[in-house]
Amino acid sequence: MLIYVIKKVMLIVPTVIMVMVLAFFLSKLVPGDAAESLITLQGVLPQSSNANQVYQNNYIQLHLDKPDFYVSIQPDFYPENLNEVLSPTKRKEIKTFLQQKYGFEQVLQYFKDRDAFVNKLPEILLDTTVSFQHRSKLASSRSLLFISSIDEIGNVLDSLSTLPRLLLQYEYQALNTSFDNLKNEKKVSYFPKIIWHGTNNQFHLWVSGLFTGNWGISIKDGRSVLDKIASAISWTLLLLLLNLIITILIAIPTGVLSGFKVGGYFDKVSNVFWLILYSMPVFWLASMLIIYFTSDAYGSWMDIFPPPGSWVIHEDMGFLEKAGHFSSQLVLPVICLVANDIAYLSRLTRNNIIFQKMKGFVMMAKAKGLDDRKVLLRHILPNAMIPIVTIIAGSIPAGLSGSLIIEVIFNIPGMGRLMYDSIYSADWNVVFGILIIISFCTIIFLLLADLLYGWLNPKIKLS
Amino acid sequence: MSRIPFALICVIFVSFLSCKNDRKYEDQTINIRLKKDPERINPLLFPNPTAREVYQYLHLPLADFDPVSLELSPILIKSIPEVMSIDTGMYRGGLSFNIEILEEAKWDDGSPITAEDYVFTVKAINLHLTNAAKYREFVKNISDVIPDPDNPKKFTVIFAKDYMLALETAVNVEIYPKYYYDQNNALGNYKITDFVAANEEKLAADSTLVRFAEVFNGNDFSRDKMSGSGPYAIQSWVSDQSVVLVKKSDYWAKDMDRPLLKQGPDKMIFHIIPDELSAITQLKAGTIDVVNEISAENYQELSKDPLLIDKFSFYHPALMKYYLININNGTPKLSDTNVRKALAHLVDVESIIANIEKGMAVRVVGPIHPVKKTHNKSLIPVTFDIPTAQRLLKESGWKDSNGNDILDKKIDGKFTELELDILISGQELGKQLSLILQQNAAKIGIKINITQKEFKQIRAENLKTRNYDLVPAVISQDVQTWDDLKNDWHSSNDTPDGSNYTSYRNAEVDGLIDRILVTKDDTERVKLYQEIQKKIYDDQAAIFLYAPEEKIVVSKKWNSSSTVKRPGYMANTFQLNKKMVSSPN
Repeated sequence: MLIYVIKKVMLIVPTVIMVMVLAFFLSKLVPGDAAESLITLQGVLPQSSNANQVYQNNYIQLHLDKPDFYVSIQPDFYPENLNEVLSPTKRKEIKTFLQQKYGFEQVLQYFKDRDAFVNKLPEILLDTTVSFQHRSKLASSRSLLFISSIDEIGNVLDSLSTLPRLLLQYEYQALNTSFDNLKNEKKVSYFPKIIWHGTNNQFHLWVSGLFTGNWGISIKDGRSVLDKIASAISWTLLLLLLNLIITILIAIPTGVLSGFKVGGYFDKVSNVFWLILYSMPVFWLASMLIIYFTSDAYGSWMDIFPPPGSWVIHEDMGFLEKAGHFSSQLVLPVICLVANDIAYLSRLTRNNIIFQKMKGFVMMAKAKGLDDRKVLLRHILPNAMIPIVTIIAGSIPAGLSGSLIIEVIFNIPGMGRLMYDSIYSADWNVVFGILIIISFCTIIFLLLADLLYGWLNPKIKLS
Repeated sequence: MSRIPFALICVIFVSFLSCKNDRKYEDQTINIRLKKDPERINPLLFPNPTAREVYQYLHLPLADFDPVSLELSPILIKSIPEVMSIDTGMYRGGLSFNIEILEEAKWDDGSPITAEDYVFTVKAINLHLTNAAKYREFVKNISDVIPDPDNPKKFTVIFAKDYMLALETAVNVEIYPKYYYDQNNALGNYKITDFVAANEEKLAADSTLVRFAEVFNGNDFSRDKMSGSGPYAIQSWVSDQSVVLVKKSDYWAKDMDRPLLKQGPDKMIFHIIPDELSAITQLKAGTIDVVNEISAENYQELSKDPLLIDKFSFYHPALMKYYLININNGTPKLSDTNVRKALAHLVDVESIIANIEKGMAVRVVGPIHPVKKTHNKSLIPVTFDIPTAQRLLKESGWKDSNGNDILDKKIDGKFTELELDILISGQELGKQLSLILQQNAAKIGIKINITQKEFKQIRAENLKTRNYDLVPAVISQDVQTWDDLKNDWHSSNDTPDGSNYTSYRNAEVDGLIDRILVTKDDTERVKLYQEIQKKIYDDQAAIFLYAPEEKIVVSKKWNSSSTVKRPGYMANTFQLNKKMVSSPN
């Protein structure tokens, strides 16, 4: 048993690391980055003249210019660290050309000559001595800034070849040369290259922070990640605890009763009732409860609970008033949370009891003359509880990630809302923090479930 | 068995506590709904619209736009300064403003607000290490500030170059107290002229400045320690729950008639309630007094409810934003003006306003909001007119030559069908718009394909790369008179880093935009703006839709009013309605 527990505990580290690596790489696939989110928070509009500069400052400050991970495997003509290109548009353009297998050096040279050509255009376009036809042809060549297809670029450059030689001759020739180089140096085959970036990478910087207790700060509001998670998890834990207690207190006795007296009056009524409850979408139930039970619009007798989401504590409130204020706010969300869970767990308990009742050892116990109560408590229940324990143990870490719908409707600042808001604003420090805590808790609770199996049924050996 | 009565008592007790208790609400406390947490309350560093709802009562600028006239009006200064041209010296050709701060204006510690605080604020913004990037874009144009040696309240702001937004830049920035935000006088050893781009490397090497920027950017000054010249101070802030402001006692401006300086309710409680249904429930229950940003549907329902009309005031002031459909003018199909005009005729904007906005919106015809004096009122909104759209396309040579119900034409010798892609984000308006356009376009042989993706993705992958046909978008504007049209409509910004997303290139418009920047006469400038709108309208460079209105509901417990300025109301100007106080619900 002890060895089993040690083994399981030792599993926590690689599992959490795997989750961290996976989450980290998934975050890289999401459009936009933290520097972009930060610039929005700073109120800098994308059309502001300093938007690029501010983005680049944020980009460096958030270490996004460093390689993603310790090692990278990529085609041999790729640059060692593309993240070093600070401009997001340039970075994207380079990636597009690299994906078409054009060499990095040639791409950079082409960009340089293309930009030099396009930057010279306004000068010519204002020159009224140049014919309108030539000017409009030159004006349309600005499209070079937006095209990455080699054929389209070729067409634009060809269309300019008929222009008088004196118009942007030097820039045009340079551009043509670099374009030819780009085309000619297209890779037909390549080898994969493994690059070791050392510890100066984004993942390492973040992970080493975690081990020194620095989980980083939220880019949204500048608070420490741990503070934010601690504040949100306290709400979620409170709801989770209430949910668990109420669900277990109601679902298991009703399920046992139903299963033990299967086909009876109670079983039939509860079956219908749980089915209705289980079919109700949580958001609908929440909305109905709010509409009907928090105002006097449908009769003053229905105006039982206060409107949801008012957490302000006034200075003159006494302890009882504070307690009443909080508990009154929690009643409706807890009803919504437990509704589905009770129905599900009760049905599960009932079915397990029926299943166990049919087993030979139950017949044997009855044949030995044990009364129903003893058969239920000593023989049926411990066996029936095993799958239920798994469900409950699994629901705790799942519950820790919060219930977004309930938290939004009832204005509860829990983990669900925090996770959603953080993902939406690319606040990855917070997202990673939540993932670590949830994966850690998942392993711990699954371990606890395993230990409970052994306690409920000593025949199960953990090794 | 003895445990059962105890458990029963507990359950009954908790149930009793949990039921509604009619708490007596404090008369002089106004309860306001905030849609989300303000995140950071620091106007210089994080000027987000939600935080503005709170910080507008804490931090004040020297002058601001009047909530009624929308003209710049003085707040902390005696009067709006005159623009003066500089004819001699090193700033010849530039502009200057002589500014005098009110004699009685003072900070929370009783010290006077002086030119020194203004100089500190300008330095803090222009120091590239601080996060004041939004303001820096404007304030960097301030070349120097010269305090009056005889009067610490007087100073001259100098712009070395003629700058269109010089006056707004000089007076419409929140002023921070130097004694509070720079206790070590870190910026004191530097002149304003030191904070220029050329010195950035040198400044970044100064550990004192780096330390100052760290503290200034830090969370303390955006959350725990805040001090401004506004009529209210922050009392508490619980993230994602509430922010409480209290009236400053013995406020220096309590007898003044300037709207931003007024002190109304004793306390303002901002309840953070993201869900609209919850906010409306609280409004009806009387626990919230002000709810803004309500959906048109809910607003209409509330305003028509006979039980609520006597209890609430309903406002729908103009909102400084408008919707449009960006057209990529650079593609072969859409570079044809007739095609763009035809598309504009296919959108039934009036019907969208009636159905989605419940009539609470005004049509826009160009890039200037209709409430602004620079708006060209002579332009008539494009009508929903399918036959005209059909005629325009025919004139341009589009016909269905292969009988597949899609118009086609040879462009540069290439067979091209009139098939367009519209990219939308998850917003309801975008979905509705694209469907309406798709249905109407199909009637005259235009095939519209709808693709939905995140707006972030649309901006990065399509707008910036001009790899799109049509993208609905929203443009937010400030109330300032002079909009800078260069970023969005000048051909020099038709680059991957520029924001001329429509790829609109019109040399005449470029010339007019350039002229605005150097024109000093207001009447002449207004004419230039109107001319630009006419050109863009004639070219139908984008499909301009409408400017929605804000929807605000305020309890009649308060004598209230609304304004075009965000967030649409100023709670500090509200006064308790004595008649309603006895029965607030």
